[in-house]
Amino acid sequence: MPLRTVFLQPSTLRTLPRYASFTPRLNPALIRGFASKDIPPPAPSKPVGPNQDVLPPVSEEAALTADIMGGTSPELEQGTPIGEMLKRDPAARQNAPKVLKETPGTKREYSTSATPIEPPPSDTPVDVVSSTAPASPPVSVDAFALTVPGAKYPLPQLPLPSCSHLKHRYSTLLEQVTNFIMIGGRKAKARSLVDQILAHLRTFPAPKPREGTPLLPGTPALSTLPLDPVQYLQTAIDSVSPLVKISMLKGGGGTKQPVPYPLRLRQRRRFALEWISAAADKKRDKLEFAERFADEVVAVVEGRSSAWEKRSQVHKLAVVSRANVIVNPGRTVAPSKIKFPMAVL
Amino acid sequence: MVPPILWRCLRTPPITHPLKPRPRLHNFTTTPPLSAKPLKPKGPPPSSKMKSGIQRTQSNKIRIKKEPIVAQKPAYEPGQRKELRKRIVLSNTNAIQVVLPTMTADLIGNEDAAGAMFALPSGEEDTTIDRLRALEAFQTKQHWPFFHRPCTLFRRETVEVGRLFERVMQRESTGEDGWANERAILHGYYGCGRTILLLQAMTWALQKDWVVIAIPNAQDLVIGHTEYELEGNSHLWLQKAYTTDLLNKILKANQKTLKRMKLSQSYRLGRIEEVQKGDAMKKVLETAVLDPLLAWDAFNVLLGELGLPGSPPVLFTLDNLNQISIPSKYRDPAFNVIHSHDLALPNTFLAYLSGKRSFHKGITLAATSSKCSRTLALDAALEGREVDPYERLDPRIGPSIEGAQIIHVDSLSKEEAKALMDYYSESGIMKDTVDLTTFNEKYAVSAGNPRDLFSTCLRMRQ
Amino acid sequence: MVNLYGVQIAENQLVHKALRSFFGIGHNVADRICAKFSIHKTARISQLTQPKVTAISSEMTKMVIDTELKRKIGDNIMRLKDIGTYRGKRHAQGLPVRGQKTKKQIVSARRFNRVSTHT
Repeated sequence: MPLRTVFLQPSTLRTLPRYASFTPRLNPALIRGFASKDIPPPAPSKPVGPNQDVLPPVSEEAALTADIMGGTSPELEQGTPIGEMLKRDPAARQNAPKVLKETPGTKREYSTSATPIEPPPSDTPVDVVSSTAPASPPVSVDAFALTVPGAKYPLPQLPLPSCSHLKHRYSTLLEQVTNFIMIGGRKAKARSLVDQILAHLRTFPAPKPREGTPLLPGTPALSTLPLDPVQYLQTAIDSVSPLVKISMLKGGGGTKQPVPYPLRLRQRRRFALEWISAAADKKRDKLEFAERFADEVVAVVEGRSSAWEKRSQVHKLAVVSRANVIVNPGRTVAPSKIKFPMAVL
Repeated sequence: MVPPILWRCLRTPPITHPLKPRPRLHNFTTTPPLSAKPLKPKGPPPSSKMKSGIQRTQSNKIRIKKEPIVAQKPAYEPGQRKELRKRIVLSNTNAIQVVLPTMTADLIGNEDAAGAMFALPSGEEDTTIDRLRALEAFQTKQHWPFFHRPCTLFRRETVEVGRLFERVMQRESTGEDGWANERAILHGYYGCGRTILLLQAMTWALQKDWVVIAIPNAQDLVIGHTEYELEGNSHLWLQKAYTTDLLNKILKANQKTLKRMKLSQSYRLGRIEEVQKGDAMKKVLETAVLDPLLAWDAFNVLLGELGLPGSPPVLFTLDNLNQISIPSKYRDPAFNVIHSHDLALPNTFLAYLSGKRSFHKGITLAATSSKCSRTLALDAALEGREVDPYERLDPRIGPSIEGAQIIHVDSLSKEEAKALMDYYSESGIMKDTVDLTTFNEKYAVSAGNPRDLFSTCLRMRQ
Repeated sequence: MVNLYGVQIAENQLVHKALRSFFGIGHNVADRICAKFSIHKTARISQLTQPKVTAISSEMTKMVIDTELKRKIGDNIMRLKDIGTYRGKRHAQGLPVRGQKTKKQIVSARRFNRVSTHT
């Protein structure tokens, strides 16, 4: 029995930070956000209220029209001396509207002043708008080293880790696997099954690497996987998950067109789980579900699972039918609602 | 007498409907058979590729070829599933090996060793683990399959168990020819490690060449799954099949010691078999194992010999004491429930536990269980409180454990928990580093319970 | 195969279940028979000694079971009919005996209520 060295700590065996490598991280240099750094949006010279962007006065408009049409324009500099007319003509004063009758300076019963909307503070960096920007830098520890007088423990270090929330204690993958396994709302049962799967992954012999198994790049050495069963599970699921799904849409002449649709991460994992559990169900020589499932996960990592064939089948069909891809980023219509793919039309 | 007018009715021709076409009936025809097809020449058509030998002479009935019914091979042989269920794995090659000192007999009663991890003795020639396996000291669901090799924690309670050994050995070394008997019950909350303490005691006893007799689960004795029959003299119910199994275990675990034991007198086993004075005890047991009818007599011979001066020390253990404190599932011929204490094996064990019978030198050790229905009488006896006369408790339970020392197995202290967590971390099972925050968190969540501590350390929060 | 009360029973069958296969022996009676001869719950026919099988058979001959029980039930019904009771008449007609409605749902009565069912 070959014994492993004692001094090999699990932390040294891990080459990559756990789970970081599998999230689709995009290079910020390649992505243009809604607000780019180089071309800042033109700052409004004056704060614009809701009712301030209105048409010019009547006389200005008339002057513009006259300019175009070639007529005499009303005098813009002088304006229309209504006040003088009212002073001169007592009959006009009587027929004048109510607003003009009132002497200016008196207080109105209602407010007509429009409060300008506060512009965003100028010191906010523009990057925040971009979704790909990293989170704000960690706040220095000194700021939080304060202790509430009389409290037993110091204040927690901020920002709180993602696992600190009661409902998001476990990784999203484990949550999804649990919900996938669950039947009839029996979540505690599903959780215990997931625990059993992880325990089996710990105790099964380490997977042997096989040539040609398209595992995700960045997978750590396979011999280290049993000590980190969540990573093990994630390697298997994310590696066999398909990139697209094929949906058969009605084409012209009573035919059906295979149309590939891209999948989100969660959808991709769902497909992988379906295939793995379908393959696991065929194993009749294993006693329990957890044992069967864990065995299939090992088979996936070793590249001898039937899930790989299903994946390559989907990808091949997607490549063949790539002409049918719907390219219409503006529309957000459910695929089932679309009658004909745009590319076909 | 039929009137003639009715006969006339019968004679009239049948009335035919004028509109209904009558069928044309011809007795013969002169039309030549022109419309008929010409007769085909017999034999196969010349272009046919069919073999001439095979012809479709039969009618065009659909023939369904019946597939022979293949008897499906059962997924499991009888007993295979139970074997899988009871299988005990003690090693995990994936886990990282941790170098730990061995749990030797020198550590008995060593207070300084408390709060440290020790590996169970294993080596090329050391068969301790195999003998422990034979005694069923390891149980399923005890986390052995996660680690590279079986290791245990030396606890404060282990020291107390060691004290029992010390006292017996002291008596041995001083050369007193008196009786040295220790009786104790391990009692505590669920998952607090009582069975592991039994395991540690057995490890020491095997290393010191004691005779170890272990009943691994008292539930097997009372659930009515083994044979039973009444013995006339003692009015006890014998379980011969179970006793045979027990003797088998004893024989496997204590080969060397039993070989050295010589009988002090001749005994009679069953009706015919006889063993002579001076025979090895091993030989007696080997005869008894083959025949269930001799098992109980042989077991009594063994116990009797162990009570004589000059015999090796004994460790007699029983796990799940609660199970023999409730009525059994057996019935007597009058259809009354048999009390567990009327079964011979539990009766014998409780006789040793209460001090009615005694070994020359030995320890009787029992462990309570949490996986049992309520045993109010036993709880009252363990607490040693006055029983309310209106509480109708079983009066036989209290005296059965009278005089036994009760070792309270408590939750882990912080030092012990730290040692365990360090071991988990070094084995690669636990991913978090054991710093003050993690330690406090896990210790608080598990409340120092070893079983809960393991599950909290194993489960990863991401 | 072991002959128990004149019936051949497979070796690997549970004793308790084998006893229950006779008309007139249910769980309770089977429990009592097993207790009488100190047979545990999981005992199989093959584990019984021949004297025990004979003892069980002779015990069963003392009881009213199987054809004997069926004849007894049939006789009781016959008696009812012979003395001209309403119950006996209803049995003979194949109709419900205990005052049920007969507009519909009397299938069970038609099936079972006969004079000569158990002879």
